Amino acid sequence: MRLDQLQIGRRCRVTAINFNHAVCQRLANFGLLPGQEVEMSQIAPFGDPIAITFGGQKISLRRREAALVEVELIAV
Amino acid sequence: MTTTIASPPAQQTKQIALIGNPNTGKTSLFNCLTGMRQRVGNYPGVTVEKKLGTVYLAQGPATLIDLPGAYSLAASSLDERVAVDVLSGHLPGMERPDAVVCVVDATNLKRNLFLAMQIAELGIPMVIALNLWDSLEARGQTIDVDELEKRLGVPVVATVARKSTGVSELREAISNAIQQERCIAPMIWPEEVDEAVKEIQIAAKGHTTVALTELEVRRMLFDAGSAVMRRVESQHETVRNAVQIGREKLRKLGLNPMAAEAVLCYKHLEKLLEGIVKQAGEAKGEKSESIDKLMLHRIGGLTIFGVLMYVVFQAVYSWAGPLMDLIDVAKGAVQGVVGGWLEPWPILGSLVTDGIIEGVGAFVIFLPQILILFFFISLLEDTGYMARAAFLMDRLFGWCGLNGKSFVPMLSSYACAIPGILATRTIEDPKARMVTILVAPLMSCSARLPVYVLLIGAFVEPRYGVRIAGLALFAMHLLGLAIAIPAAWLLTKYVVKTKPQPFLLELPPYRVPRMQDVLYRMWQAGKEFIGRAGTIILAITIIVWALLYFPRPVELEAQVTEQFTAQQIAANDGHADLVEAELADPDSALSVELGNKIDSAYTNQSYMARIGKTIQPVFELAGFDWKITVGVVASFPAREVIISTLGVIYSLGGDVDEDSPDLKTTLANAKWPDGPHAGQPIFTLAVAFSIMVFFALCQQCGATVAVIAKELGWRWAMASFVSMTAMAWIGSVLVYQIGTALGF
Amino acid sequence: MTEVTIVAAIVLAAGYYLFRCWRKSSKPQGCGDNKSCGCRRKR
Ligand SMILES: Nc1nc2c(ncn2[C@@H]2O[C@H](COP(=O)(O)OP(=O)(O)O)[C@@H](O)[C@H]2O)c(=O)[nH]1
Ligand SMILES: [Mg+2]
Repeated sequence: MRLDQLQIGRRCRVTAINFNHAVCQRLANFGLLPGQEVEMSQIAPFGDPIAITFGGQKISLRRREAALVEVELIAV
Repeated sequence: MTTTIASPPAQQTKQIALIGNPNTGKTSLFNCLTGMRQRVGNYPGVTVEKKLGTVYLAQGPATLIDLPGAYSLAASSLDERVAVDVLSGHLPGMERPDAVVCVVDATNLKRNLFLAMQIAELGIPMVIALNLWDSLEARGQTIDVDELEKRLGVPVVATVARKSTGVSELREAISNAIQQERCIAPMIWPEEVDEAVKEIQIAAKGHTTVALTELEVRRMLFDAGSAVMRRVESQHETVRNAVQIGREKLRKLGLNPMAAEAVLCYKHLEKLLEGIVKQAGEAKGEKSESIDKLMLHRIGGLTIFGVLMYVVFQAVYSWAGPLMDLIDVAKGAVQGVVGGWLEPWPILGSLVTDGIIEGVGAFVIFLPQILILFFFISLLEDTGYMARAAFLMDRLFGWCGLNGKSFVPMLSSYACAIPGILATRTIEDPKARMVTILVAPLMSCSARLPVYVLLIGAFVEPRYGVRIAGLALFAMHLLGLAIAIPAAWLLTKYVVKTKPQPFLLELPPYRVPRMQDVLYRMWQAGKEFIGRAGTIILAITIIVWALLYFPRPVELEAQVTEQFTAQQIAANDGHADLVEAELADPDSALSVELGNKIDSAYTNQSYMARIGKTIQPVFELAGFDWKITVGVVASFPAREVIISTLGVIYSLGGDVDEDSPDLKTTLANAKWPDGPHAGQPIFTLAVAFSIMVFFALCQQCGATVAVIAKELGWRWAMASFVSMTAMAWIGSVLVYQIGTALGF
Repeated sequence: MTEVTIVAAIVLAAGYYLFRCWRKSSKPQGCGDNKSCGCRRKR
């Protein structure tokens, strides 16, 4: 499953990131690394961008970039 | 001229840099430490240039440098680059700082210390300020400061910049840091990394002017588009190969080179921070999160955004009334008194009352609107809603090639395009930045506000009421944005050609704005506004007055009087004695009418009228008469000038009726003296909107043109000027022609 | 006569001020980001 496919309020854990894109290095600097837990917080009115919460911070990014992050759902 | 003696190396004054992630309170701390008042705001990208101040330490005064925030030393935008360059000593004219204060958001230790670990490698003595300590406590958490200090090996001070808590401890810690030179224990890298670094260093030997430090080499190894790489890469194949080999080594370790640094560093920090953050009290639910649930709701979010903006402009429009009346009364009183004193000197009297007081006064009347507007702007910036607005609007910008990050500078441009243009330095892609700079002046800055309020007050409100008037003001402010989006699309597609930009923006927690910050911002804006009234507006007003007053041929008065008297006698069946008797009384209706005729005759043959009438055909299609034309042309250096110019024109021109207490009513009563529309009002609704559209779209601000020239070069500045002027002309012609055809 | 001189002096001073502003704005020094910029005396 990819990060952009998550529904609002669902939590997941990052399994892999496609680091061949420069954006992902910046995401990594924010601490978005394999093993990190992430929650989908908001989806903007037109469905893009999205806001995710992890490690006590809220970051917004576009779906295109979120699609580079593979995740697995955490059972609630 | 004597040559100045080269100053001795700056050893006496120590340099201390403030660095940290964006929005951690660096500028707030800077203000606490230096007693200065640089602007703070609750969104990333408020500080985009380095700012210097003086801090008094135990050793004496030292220079404190406030830097733009950065998330990592792999700087991707211009403002981050400034921070990195200052720290590494690569900024021309700046020494490497003697110590850094790393400002850390106590609620997000790990990410903030990631940057601290990178800086540690520079080997500069460091102090860590754990700022936003109050937010940490509000979450029911605490940090073991002593333990953290022990593990990091540098002084750690808890601070609350907003309340100036911990500032003296911080000052003390800085003093000590300079003496003791304590640095964070740098990370221990896996052997493979160290090996790769050595190999690259060897490969680069002789190829660079200065041998590369380990740190610089690591940046080359880890960063895709490293600034260090750019300094050496182009010339040297060998270096590039060595970097490739090094990256291979990392891959064999199972690490992607692009992520290696983050992975290793976060692992290191994980261990370092174990047990440091403690849950002391009850964990409270995140307030920000529940506010966001509403503010960023998929349907509700946009509605709230729209309603908020509408309320802002409605308030700007309707709250100011009483204050404006007060200023107007004061203006009238001053005019009366000063006019009395200057009675014996008619020319000087006219300069002061019709020129200076009338012109500058017409402008100053709009001070209340400016204050109200800045009140709201400052709320918007300090609460943290700014970044949310960017989030909501991103999609609207996405299709034109820009992203929500461009929206932050564009929103700032509603106050003034210049800080807006400077704020574009947070945009990573140079081309996207260029497009944003070019469209930012289309946002309706506060200087346009008086023009809108004047014309809407004169022509929309009397007909349609306050509510519609507020809506019209809102619409005028939206117009620039509505034009900017397709303009950006054209630019990105055909002129500058940018790829779609990624959009990464931190949404900071909501904070309650500090009243003193809000008031200070309003005070600053008010001071600036009055300052302009007393300088550039005053100067242009004086010139406009002179051009309208001169030449003054004496015979003109006699001529007009003779003509007028003859006309009146004819109209009164030849009773010359009656007419003359009435004219002898200076207060009679006839005398007043004659006086107005004389004034009008003089104005109509003034230099300004001649210039205006020459240029007027250009604006014929937009419905402007020569007076509006003059106002528009005089406004090219600064758009607010139109207000003072119209004030002077109508005050000198003798068109002021008895029942025209202010400029608004005077405009509403102005009529064409001759030509095809003789006798009809000059200002129809179509003309009023034609003027407003012209001002909305035109680049009438010398200072903005100069700043664009500084950021992008004179060619782009001229291009921006010419295209915006053309757009303004076309827009106003369309509005006038269509409006007139529809009967407005 | 003196009145005309005074008025002329004021107008010339205004003209000179604008000229200086124009000269200065054509080579801007950068502005503080808490100020909308314009024609201003050196701080
Ligand atoms: N609650 C709280 N807010 C703070 C503190 N320090 C700064 N702020 C707020 O945080 C925001 C960012 O501050 P600023 O100094 O502009 O941060 P910079 O981007 O690092 O320069 C502003 O809204 C400040 O009022 C603090 O210690 N506690
Ligand atoms: Mg700042």
